[in-house]
Amino acid sequence: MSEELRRRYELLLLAYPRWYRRERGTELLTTLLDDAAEGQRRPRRADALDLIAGGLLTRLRPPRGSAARLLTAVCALYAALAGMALAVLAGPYPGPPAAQDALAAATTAFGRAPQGAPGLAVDCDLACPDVKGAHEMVVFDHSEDRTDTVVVWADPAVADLAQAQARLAAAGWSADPVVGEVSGLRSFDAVRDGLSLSVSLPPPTESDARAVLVVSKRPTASVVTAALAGALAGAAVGWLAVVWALQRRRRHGPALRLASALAGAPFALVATVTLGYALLWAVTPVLTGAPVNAVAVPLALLTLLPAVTVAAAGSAVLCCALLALPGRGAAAALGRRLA
Amino acid sequence: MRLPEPTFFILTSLTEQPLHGYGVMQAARELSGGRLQLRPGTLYAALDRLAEDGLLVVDREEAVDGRLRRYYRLTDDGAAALAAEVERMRADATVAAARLRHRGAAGLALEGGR
Repeated sequence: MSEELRRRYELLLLAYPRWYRRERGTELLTTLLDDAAEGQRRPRRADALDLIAGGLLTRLRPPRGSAARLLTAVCALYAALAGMALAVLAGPYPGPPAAQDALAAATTAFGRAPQGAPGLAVDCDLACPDVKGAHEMVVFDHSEDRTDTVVVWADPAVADLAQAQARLAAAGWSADPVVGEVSGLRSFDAVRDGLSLSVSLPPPTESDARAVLVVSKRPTASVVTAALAGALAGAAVGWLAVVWALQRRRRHGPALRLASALAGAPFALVATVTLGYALLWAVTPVLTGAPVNAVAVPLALLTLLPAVTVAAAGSAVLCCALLALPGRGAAAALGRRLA
Repeated sequence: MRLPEPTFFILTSLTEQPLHGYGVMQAARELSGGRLQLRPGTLYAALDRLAEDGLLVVDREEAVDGRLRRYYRLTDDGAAALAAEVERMRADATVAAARLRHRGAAGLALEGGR
């Protein structure tokens, strides 16, 4: 047996996770050396590729069982959402539109200037928002960040969608056709330069109905690229983490298994509900034919209730910390072989 | 669910006696007429899955000189899974053979009618 061959095989076995090498490393190496030809000094190329593939698969494959697979998918998708949100938030998003730009667009669309002082506080004429600081007509969707949209409300009596479209078009906006939803809400999107706006008008039957104009910056190509890269990175990290956790869990006793399940349950719940909403947000516009304004959906999902997102992250970290405690040993991971 | 070919030959190789990893590789090669060249990465991935599913268990270990050989034994569940697969293969082969005979007969009849 050549010492060189053994060293090279040992190097290849690094493709496998450490726990697997501890359990199976010597055995796998023995089999590899048994299979080696007399005087062979280097691993065969096919064997090397097979070992690398086997090692990666061991790292990436969730344990058997539909619950484990579902959990893996949910966590990976949630991590993809989080990665996308982080990339959008920290990345090259062009920032919230200026309140003045939003007001200018609203003035064009509704055909009349707001009365009172322009800016964040204007008289309740064009808009009568039902929020604290009642005279604001421009609100931010949550604590300020670069992806914020600015919302302008208007009295529906002054808002006519066809006229708004015509006025915007005359001012150089390129407006999409008006689409109606089942609920009776009608809306259209328009873009000009770096701005995107969505104007919607509820059915007149609704009490306290208001025309709403949402203004946002249009995401640039680099924003979209960063978002996709963030989603991919998030999915990869989430997948690896959950497979690690599930594999690690099998090497613990019943007490730690239960504790880790309890610790991780809030995260699993939040991730499932969030994905449900994400799916709804993705599917609803397709079903109803409603336009989707270019706002950062994952970010909105994760920042809708920031405390819940933070709690979910804490739950995931606690679960992983419990599982990272020293395990019971090698045997359990090889299934029922000792049974 | 169909058994993949490597799994089929791994189970088959263990029907008579427990074997270690290299023994399974050799047996699978022989039983498949040299067609199936199991590589260690593939072999151990399959062994892990089969052990997880309870189709085989570790029979004993031999540790000599820094080498470790684990011998795997087919369980009753494993034997049952293999038997079910054999039955499926037999049924499929019977159907195919019957169709082929039919085709042969039809072809001959046509030629004869010319």
